[in-house]
Amino acid sequence: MIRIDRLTKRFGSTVALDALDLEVRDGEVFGFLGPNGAGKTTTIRLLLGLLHPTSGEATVLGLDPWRDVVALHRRVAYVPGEFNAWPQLTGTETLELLGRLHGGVDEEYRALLVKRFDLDVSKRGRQYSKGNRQKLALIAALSTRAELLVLDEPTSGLDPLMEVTFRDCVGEAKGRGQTVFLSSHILSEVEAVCDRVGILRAGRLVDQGTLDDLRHLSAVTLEIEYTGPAPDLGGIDGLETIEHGDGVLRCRLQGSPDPVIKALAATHVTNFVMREPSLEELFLRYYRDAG
Amino acid sequence: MPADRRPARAVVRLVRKQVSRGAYAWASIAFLTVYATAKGYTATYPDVNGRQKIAALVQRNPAFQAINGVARRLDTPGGYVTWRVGGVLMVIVAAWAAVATTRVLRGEEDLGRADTVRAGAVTGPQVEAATLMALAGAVLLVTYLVFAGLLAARLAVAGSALLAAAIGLSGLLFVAVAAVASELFAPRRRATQVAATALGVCFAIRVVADGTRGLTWLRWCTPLGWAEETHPFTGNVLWPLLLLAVLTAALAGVALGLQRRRDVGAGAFADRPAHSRLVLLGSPARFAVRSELSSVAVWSASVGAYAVLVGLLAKDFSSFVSTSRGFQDVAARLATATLTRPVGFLALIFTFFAPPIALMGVFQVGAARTEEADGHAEVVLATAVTRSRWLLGRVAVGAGAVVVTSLVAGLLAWTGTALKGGGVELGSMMRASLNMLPAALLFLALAVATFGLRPRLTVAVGAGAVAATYLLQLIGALVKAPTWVLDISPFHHLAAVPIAPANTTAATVMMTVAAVLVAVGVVAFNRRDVAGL
Repeated sequence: MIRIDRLTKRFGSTVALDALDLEVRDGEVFGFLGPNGAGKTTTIRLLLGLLHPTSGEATVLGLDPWRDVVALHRRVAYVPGEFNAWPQLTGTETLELLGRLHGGVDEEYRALLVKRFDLDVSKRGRQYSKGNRQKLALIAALSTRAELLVLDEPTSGLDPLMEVTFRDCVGEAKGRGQTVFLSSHILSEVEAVCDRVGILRAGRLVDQGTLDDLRHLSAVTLEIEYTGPAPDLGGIDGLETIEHGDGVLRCRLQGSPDPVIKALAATHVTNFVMREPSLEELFLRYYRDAG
Repeated sequence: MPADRRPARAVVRLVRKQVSRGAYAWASIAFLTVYATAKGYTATYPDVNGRQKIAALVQRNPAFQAINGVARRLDTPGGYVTWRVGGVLMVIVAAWAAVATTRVLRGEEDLGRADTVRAGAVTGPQVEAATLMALAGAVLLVTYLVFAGLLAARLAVAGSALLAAAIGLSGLLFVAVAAVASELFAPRRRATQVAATALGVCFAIRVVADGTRGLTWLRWCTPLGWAEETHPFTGNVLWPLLLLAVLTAALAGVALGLQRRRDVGAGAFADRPAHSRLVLLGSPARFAVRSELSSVAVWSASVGAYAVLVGLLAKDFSSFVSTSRGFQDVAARLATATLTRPVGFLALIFTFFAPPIALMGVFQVGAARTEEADGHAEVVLATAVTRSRWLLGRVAVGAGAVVVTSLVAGLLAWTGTALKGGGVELGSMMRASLNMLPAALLFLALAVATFGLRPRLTVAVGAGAVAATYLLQLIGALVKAPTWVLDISPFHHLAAVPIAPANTTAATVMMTVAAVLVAVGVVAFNRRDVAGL
């Protein structure tokens, strides 16, 4: 669906994207993660042919975003990170304009989406709040039923209720076989809807895979509560103590837990928790490690 | 606790930054205009005889005073400059001041930036007062350069100061008018419309007062008339300035009072209710028509109103020239047109319609740039619209606007002559209209090329080129510059159609260059990144 090959974009002396390799498969929901300024929006604008790559290439739906603009854009729908609605157009007019420029939309579905997102389309663009402008862009994009949805932090400004509606819509799109490329830094959202994620930092991809892959490759967190003398866990490979308080030991473990359990044999353990890291922890670790 | 003045000073600095570019540009144009007009007067009318003739013609004929304002003692340089450019500069400075004011007052609120400023340690009225102060500073700069320009042309100090002050106070008055409009109306477009309407009404009353016999008392009904009653150079009456100052202060006070009472972002009058109309949304070009219709209508109406007046004056002016030998020489030097017939006068005048029409074309391309900078183009270009189609659609609409405005000018100028029984054919005036097109479209094309290559400079380069060629002609004629210098200006190649045949060679060259420039713009736009601000 999307193939990115050593894609690089410089703005003057700033390197926004540095030899990015990425693949998004047909029918999957791909989460594109990264902090502010990592290059997420730059990547998306390159995929849409709004920017010209400095080097490297990207193919979307087998097409070149720079050369095959119309053929590609008929099959892609886009929600910008911040949709600046035309101030003089009403919601209805904006949806009509974008629909016609796209080359046709499912009007019935659009009416349904307006209802589901609970948007008053009779207002002018300038009267909409940020969240409502975002709904407008989402409705315009979803109603195209395009093969590929490119969403750049689409839920910024949406309330939790609408966030749920958004997740439902993404789920339905996937059910219909549409591919979704979703950039976000809302990790719970990515965790809830994405099949695979790519993590971007300072213009480079630091990791990609399914959430499970990323978790397995990563360290687990151990939390041991005990009474009596503290256990001696020194010399265990891959173990790193995070925090050692009064009767509580928290550490990170890479690899098998077996040596830890054996080393605890003499300790009176009152509670033992071992859990996989949340996406948030993964995310923070990637950035902290590199920091 | 002593009041902390730093936040207010920061606001002054911010606004100064926002308006300084326009202030410097207008101040330079104002300086050169008054200087060149004064110098041009002594060059054109070197002796008393010629001066008395032009004075007699204009002063006896109110129609000549309608646009430019009341004419007094045109046999003196001061009197002539006041008539020729004083009234026009008052309106131009007032219009610029009003637009700048709604931009920094209402425009900043529309964009939500005012919230950030108001979240600082300042009250609303303090922000407003600081903003008005910075705007006043910008108007003062223009005023000072008008004064300097008049002095540089060796006009009397007192008269120069008075004329500059009258122009400056007109500007300040419309800062205050626009401030009140910004308090009452949202969004910015509406506030600007209201302020512009106020200026239009003041101007229209002055036009009637100065342009109609026996209605001079009407001058007291408009602030622009008060400014005229100062009689710069010819009588030097100071107290009408006081009227202007009092009204300005009162309106500024009203604006500050209204500011205290309202929410940030809100106007006193609610936005008109919206009704969705689904026409003209089907393509980028159709949408451009929809977006630009009102602004093109205003341009056409303004150019058209001037054309009517020119038409009305054509007969009187040509009969003056045919009886005035000194002026005939001048006319012969200015252009090859013979001005002794109404159609000759119109032919010459129409070459001066080209710069404003060219400017309108540049602003049409500027509107495309604004669409891009606001992030609207990005959304459109992410749909099944190619960049070429988007840009060419907007260029076509801009070119169409240029053609329509030119034809409106020709039609209305003909209407003016017909009302006076001037015996000019409609077909001739249409040809005069079409004659302007290649030069006007050339500037539009220059803006398109700039849009492709250096989008942020689209309007600066386009409008700058129009202004530069206008000044080149103004000053070039004055210093009797060699022909090749004057030839740089596309406007210099306009033949005086309909009395002279159109310069088809020049027209062909200009249209070819324009086509190349548009092609460069489209190709460059296709190659560059879609860019924000």
